[in-house]
Amino acid sequence: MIASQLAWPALNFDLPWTSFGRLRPLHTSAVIFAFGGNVLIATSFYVVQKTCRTRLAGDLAPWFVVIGYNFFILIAGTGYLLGATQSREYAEPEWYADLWLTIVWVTYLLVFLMTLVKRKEPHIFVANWFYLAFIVTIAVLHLGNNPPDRVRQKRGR
Amino acid sequence: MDQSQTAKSMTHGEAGLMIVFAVTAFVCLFASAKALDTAYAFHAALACAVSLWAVFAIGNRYLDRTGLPPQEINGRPNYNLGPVKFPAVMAMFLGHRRFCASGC
Repeated sequence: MIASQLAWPALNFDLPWTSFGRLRPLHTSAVIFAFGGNVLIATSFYVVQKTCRTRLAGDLAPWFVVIGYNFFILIAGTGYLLGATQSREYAEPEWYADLWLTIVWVTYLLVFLMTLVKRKEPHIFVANWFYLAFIVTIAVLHLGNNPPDRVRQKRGR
Repeated sequence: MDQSQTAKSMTHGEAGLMIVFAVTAFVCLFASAKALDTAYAFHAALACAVSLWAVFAIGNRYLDRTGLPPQEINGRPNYNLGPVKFPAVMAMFLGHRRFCASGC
């Protein structure tokens, strides 16, 4: 539908929530965050358990991470369609979605770290170091790219 | 490692999350009623509904379970694969939705 709008712009049916400007970032973010994010969380939880020969740390915490992350996707996706965004590429979701993702991501880091702590294998497999680097990198990217405009203006950026 | 299930009692995580989500549901209901913008009101209502669901889901899970799952069964790790399967299914579902919406 988005691709067709390039040739036939009338396919947005004059509705604001089906316009190219809202659907295009929804598409790219769906690839990166909805598909890629879920894949990375699923594989990291599988790999860290198998390579550490132990059950994931926490009882509800892993469920909080996966359901909480998908709730963030729901808020972000509907935010694009409703036009409630910060208009910053790959950091479009509004402040309350950013705040929620921060809580979810810190819990994710803690679940991953505590699973490593209670591992039954003597050393940490290299895959887990890469997953740990990914979790920390996304945290830095999220916190660095998402402060509201007022904070950025005060810092002269 | 003990192979039997431990005695049933509500964990700090269950009790804490139920309280947090109950408070969140109330705050989001208030925010939804007072919001000046349709999108904010919708998101607050959505957060309220999900928070209420979380309270009941955690409560029902506690009532249904007999004890906490064992860490090992017959000396082998009792892997927690639920939080692996859920995002795997969501990745497939959301990836497919994205493909349908964009056409490429």
